[in-house]
Amino acid sequence: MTWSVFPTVFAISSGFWGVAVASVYLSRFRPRTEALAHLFFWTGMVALTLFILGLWGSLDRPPMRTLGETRLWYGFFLPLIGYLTWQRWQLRWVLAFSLLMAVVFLGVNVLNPDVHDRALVPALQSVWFVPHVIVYIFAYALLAVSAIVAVKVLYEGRKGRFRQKTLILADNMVYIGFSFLTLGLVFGAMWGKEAWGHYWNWDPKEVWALLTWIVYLAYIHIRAHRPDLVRPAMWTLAFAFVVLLICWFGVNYLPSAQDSIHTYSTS
Amino acid sequence: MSLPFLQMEPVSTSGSRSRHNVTKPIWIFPWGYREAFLVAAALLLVGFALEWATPGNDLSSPSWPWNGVVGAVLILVPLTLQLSIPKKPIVRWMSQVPASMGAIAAVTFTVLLMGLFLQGQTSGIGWVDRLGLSRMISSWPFLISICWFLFVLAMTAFRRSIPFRGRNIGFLLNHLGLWIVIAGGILGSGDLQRVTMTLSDGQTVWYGTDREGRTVELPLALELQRFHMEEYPPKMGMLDPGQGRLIIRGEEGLVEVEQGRTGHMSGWDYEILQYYVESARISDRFEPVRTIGAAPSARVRAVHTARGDTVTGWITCGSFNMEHQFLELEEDRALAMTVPQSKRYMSLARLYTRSGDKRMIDIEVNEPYSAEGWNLYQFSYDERFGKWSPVSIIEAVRDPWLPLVYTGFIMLLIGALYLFWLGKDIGTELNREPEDVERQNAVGKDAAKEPELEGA
Ligand code: HEM
Repeated sequence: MTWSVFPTVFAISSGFWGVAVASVYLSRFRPRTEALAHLFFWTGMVALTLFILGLWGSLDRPPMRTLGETRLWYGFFLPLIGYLTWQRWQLRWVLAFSLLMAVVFLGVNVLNPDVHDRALVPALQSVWFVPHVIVYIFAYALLAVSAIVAVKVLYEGRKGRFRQKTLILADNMVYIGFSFLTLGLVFGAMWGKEAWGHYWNWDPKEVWALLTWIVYLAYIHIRAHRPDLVRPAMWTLAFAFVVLLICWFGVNYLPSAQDSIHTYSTS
Repeated sequence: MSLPFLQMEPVSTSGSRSRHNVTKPIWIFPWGYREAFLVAAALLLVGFALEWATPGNDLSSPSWPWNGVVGAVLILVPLTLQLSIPKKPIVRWMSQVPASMGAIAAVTFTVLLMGLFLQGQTSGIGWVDRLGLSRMISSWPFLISICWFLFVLAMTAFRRSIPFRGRNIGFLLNHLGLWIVIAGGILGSGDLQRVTMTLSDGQTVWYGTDREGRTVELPLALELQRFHMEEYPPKMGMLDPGQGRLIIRGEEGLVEVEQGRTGHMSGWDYEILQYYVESARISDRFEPVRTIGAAPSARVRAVHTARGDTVTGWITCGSFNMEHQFLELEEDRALAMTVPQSKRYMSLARLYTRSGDKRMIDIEVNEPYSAEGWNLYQFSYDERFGKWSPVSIIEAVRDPWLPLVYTGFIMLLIGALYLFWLGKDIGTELNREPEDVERQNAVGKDAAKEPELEGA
């Protein structure tokens, strides 16, 4: 199987996933449609899986070397993580969001076929690349939402009352998001060992990823220790997201990042 | 363990579990957040004072066996305290969240400085260097705060492991795993060796050079057979020769060079008539060759879209021994070729080990080779020569503590899965799910006045 059939596969998978998300939301009103959601989700997954296996066979190597192939794996794993999270925590939007992200990544491969054979720079050609990126995408999405939830609690609190449910939602988001941050950090360290000879180099990007992780760690402990300290905890959570944004976008502009090994500019 | 110490969690300053907000005088047991942050701040102050007082120091982990001794002390002291006097208020305080937060804050502060100041080279600003801000990891404030951090973390972890309970497993994987990673990483750096080996064709090299420029003899030798690099096709763009820069900056202004490619660029239609991956200039044209210094070249025809005038000629990005060449179209327009980017590169070498082994290996980026306790990495090459580099630089790394650190990594990974799956239920009866009910809750300025939240 080659890339020429990919637009068809894309249409099948994203079509089924779209219907799956619709069924999930409909199941609020008609519980029986939930069974359909599972069916549609897995049909979409099977189509994509067959394509990946076929491509693997025709290339005679694992499809992990080019940008297009990388996107294929995002499109494969993000739905699985979203599905698992939905099953465990009944968070519908996480499923919807992961499927949407997957469709966007796969869609780029359809709209811009050039990326199929754009090989990555040598340092990025690693089995660690895909898992490392995926867990961070997923963690960042959940933590972004947790920041919104924190602001909501603070806003409601200002008006005199907030819903206990919102607070629990924030906690769950952080627990899930933080566990993925940990995975990302550890995967990154293991990759660093393969690529640069050591698992931790105190590179600015690593430092800021660590700082981000620590602030969420503080949130978890403040909440576990003193559930009554709602307000400080929510401020911590909102602040944590600011640190996360610095880590994501801002690092390249800091003076400390002058010789970061993590900036892959094309020069 | 029923966590009695948490239930007895006292009137701390930042809030109280009792309805009446009693303020406890500071330094009277039981301690809370206020004491935790004061201790952390004091430790940092001592650290910076020591740093100021001992300019030119360079703290790093001792090597074996002394780092092992330090590690044993870091384990035995908290263990002894938890086994002998677990009920003393200070021991209790050192295994609770407030002390942890203080320790975490201290470490975070030093890491933040690391994230803000360029590390590894002196800044030239007197006080910045004197306070160790440009080399935090080998400074006193970092050393002291990380020791306090490891101590508190071990106190926490041991308290939960005595007696061992199955439901604490997630907690222990996370806390012990993190302790192992950090302690193992820092103490292990005392035995970490990283050297570079510069290989050139046909020479056998059995030593490396460390970062201080010292020569280190290795239990293995490498003889470079060939340095091999694959490249992407070069790209073509429209240049303003007077300014010496591309008309359209960045990737959008460039197209990949490919025989037969046609398109339009800044007022000109082009067609790539001929493309050679490796070629050399022969009088006024190019011919494919495979000699050192061969460079990609392309013959291009450009037609001005409006006026129709045609220019045909050769372009090349050149190489270390061939000059680059544009195709000038008009005064401020010329077609030019960019230097190709590398796709992958590797060293093919013969490896000799002390035990008498001899074999051919290849070392590629992201695919190190291990032998005799050393990992060999493709590190660099002479970039002036690009794919024709006569040398290849290999980094050899020996890290005997790596298995320990990886054990910690695995524990953290499993711990993370626990966290994902159990959420707030992880290893605790204390944090049972709060009832999923709506309640009126004032998040007033003083949240401490909301004691019912956890159903006290
Ligand atoms: C991988 C990083 C960590 C994770 C995932 C983590 C997770 C947790 C969780 C979920 C709890 C509350 C649940 C429970 O009581 O069982 C907790 C409690 C606690 N953590 Fe952590 N933690 C981490 C690192 C740390 C660090 C670095 C420290 C201290 C320096 C620390 C100190 C504590 C303390 C003192 C408690 C309360 C202990 C108790 O109630 O028995 N943790 N941690």
